[in-house]
Amino acid sequence: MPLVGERVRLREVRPEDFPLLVSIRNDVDTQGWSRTLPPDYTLEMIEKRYGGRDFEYRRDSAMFMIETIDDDLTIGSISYTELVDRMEATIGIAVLSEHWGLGASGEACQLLLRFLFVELGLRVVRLWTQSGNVRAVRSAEKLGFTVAVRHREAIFKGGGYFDNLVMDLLREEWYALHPDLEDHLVDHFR
Amino acid sequence: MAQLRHPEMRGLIEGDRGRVMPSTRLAELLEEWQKDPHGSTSVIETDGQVAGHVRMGWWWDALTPWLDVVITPERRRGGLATEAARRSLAHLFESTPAHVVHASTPGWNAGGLAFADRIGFERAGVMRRTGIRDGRYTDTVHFELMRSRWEQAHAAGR
Repeated sequence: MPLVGERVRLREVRPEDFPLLVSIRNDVDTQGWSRTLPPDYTLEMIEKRYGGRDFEYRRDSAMFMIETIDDDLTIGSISYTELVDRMEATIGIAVLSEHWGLGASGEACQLLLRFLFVELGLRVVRLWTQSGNVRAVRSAEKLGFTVAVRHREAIFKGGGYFDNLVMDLLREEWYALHPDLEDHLVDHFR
Repeated sequence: MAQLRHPEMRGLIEGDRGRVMPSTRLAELLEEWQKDPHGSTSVIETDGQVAGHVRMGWWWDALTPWLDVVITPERRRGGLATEAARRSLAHLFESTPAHVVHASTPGWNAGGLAFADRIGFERAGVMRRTGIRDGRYTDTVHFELMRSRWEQAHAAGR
């Protein structure tokens, strides 16, 4: 199953992506969802983090670059972490702001969700965001996620408090939104 | 260590996800807790015997530390958890920049849920399918205690 949609494809991280990953990491406005980190990450740090990975069969995380199909532009990255085999994972996405609102992020998330539910057989996928990021919350809701936990005033960013939101999407909820797909995973635990 | 190996502790040890942990992993965990520079682990002792442990952590953000109180099954209902939690909360709110303290417990842990309510925590939500227990998915209930609420209760001599 190639991770290719109509507008974007997901592909592995390559050394030429490192400068883009540095700029995403160092954008105080958009980096992450929680505690602000100093925007002083260097190319060497990013190289060390993503360039020195070993081949492994047991994996609990993965990271892809998001590339546009029309013009082969690399516009951001998408990842899953904290994978618990056949159970759950947490996803995260970072896209350059000039590519927001064009549907690329939504499609990238759909490609990753399809991989996580159809190929990895997960029962639930989570994501973390914050109440100040209205666009992210709306996009997640469009994908089928609902707010599971709201930690009030748990994030201080841009001089103010925001709520920390944990959103989740159950396997059957995702399949219900994709009637063209049939789920053959036997679920003993519902 | 014996306390952590107790069969009824399964699902209550941070990171065990409801699964049996090998002794070697438990030993490593204890060592990690002791060495953690962004948290604190204390043993709860009564009558010279270990009755549980209390952990606090602020690795991600000193504004939002978390609290975990675990009492050995035989020592529950003796007020130990309440005293440990009250002392820990006083430490977090009086000696650290904590704005809100977080806690969580599995949805099946009726005693833990009631305890969190009693201590003054409010429910922040439920994370679905965080594990499997007795042939069913289990959830995790998340709690929060805002500084303002703690100060109010404290002023009222709660």
